[in-house]
Amino acid sequence: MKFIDEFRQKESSQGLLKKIRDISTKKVNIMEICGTHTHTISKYGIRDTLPSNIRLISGPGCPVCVTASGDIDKIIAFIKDEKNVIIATFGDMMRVPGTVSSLQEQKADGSDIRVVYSPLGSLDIAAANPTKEVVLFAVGFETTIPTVAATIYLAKERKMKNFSAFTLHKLTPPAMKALMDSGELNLHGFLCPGHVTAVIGAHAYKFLSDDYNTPCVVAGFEPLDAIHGLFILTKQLEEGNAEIIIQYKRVVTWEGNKKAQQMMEQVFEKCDSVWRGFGKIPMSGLRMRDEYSDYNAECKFEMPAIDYEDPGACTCGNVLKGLSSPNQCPFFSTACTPETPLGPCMVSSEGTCAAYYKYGVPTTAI
Amino acid sequence: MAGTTKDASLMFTDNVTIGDYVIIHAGFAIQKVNEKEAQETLRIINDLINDKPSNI
Repeated sequence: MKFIDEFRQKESSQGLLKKIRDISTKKVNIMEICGTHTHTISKYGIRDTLPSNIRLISGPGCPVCVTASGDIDKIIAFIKDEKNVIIATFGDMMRVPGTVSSLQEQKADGSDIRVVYSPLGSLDIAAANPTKEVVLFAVGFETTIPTVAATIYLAKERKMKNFSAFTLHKLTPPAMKALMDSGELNLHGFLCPGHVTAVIGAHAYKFLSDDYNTPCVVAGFEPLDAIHGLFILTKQLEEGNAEIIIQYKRVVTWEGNKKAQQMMEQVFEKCDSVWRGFGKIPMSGLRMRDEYSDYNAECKFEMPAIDYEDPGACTCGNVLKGLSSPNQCPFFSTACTPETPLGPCMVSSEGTCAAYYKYGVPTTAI
Repeated sequence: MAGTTKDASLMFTDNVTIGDYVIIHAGFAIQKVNEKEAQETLRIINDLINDKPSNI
């Protein structure tokens, strides 16, 4: 078994979609909060084949998209001031517009900004450039956080002198709580991200069942997984259940990956964080612990203080909260395209606007 | 998959050997794929489609 083709079978997918249509009667709002789910659902046209009483909303599933533009402004201001610095970052971050500029534009202006596939790549850059300061600019949810934590941990073990990280990590469960508390959306259930949950464990969503009577299903990313996940969620909603169920059992467990959790805990502690579209969500972010302050770019350097104001034109905030669809944004596919993005939802490979642009606006889009 | 070779750290996994499948993210294996569970999921889906009684 190769674990990919088997979960892309067309007949099984269509069979399951028919089952959803057979059992679904209630008008429900389901949110998926994972950029990869957003893309799978768009790519395979799943939204269009669901019955019209199921409203499937894309939420804040893209860590690049929820990074406040003030934080992009901060790193750009930093690299303009500090000449002896190499910034290492993930590919998606390069084209995200801050208020005035982007990392890609800064690179064109002469700043040394390099894309890494793995945060470990930034340690290699630091080792190869001993006279330069290397700063890893890292965003990401809980799938990525252990990898960045391990990188910082290794830098400290190796006593590296020219490496630090500017980390803007955010946590998934607090965002889900904020969405429920906002009352703006009337959500009935969540399709939960497979690989975030492989790390944090399905128990992390128990509060949604206990305190909010809201069912969650942790689904994989192949089309059959996503549809199976939606079936299980629909069945729960029809029967009035509110359990946390794992569809993606070949990868996800109730406890999660303890080694990855320990590494996150070793290097980071929770803090408040500003999310694009949401503003401040309490205890929804991570900062480095004091014992790692030598590797914390915000401690090592004077980073400018920046106001957190979202740029006026971009309506990514409402898209991220699921309050509007990309096609409802006046700039979608006109001023804002993948080539000329106004906001992160169009830039990022996991962004909702990018998915709608690439795979088409579903006929059931609001 | 499909012939691409990449290095990855195994620091977050246990007992991974040649022939196993893992989920790789940003240069790290974050979980081993459980083949038994994969077979079970496919069986459950198959039962669902064919109206055979099964747990979810």
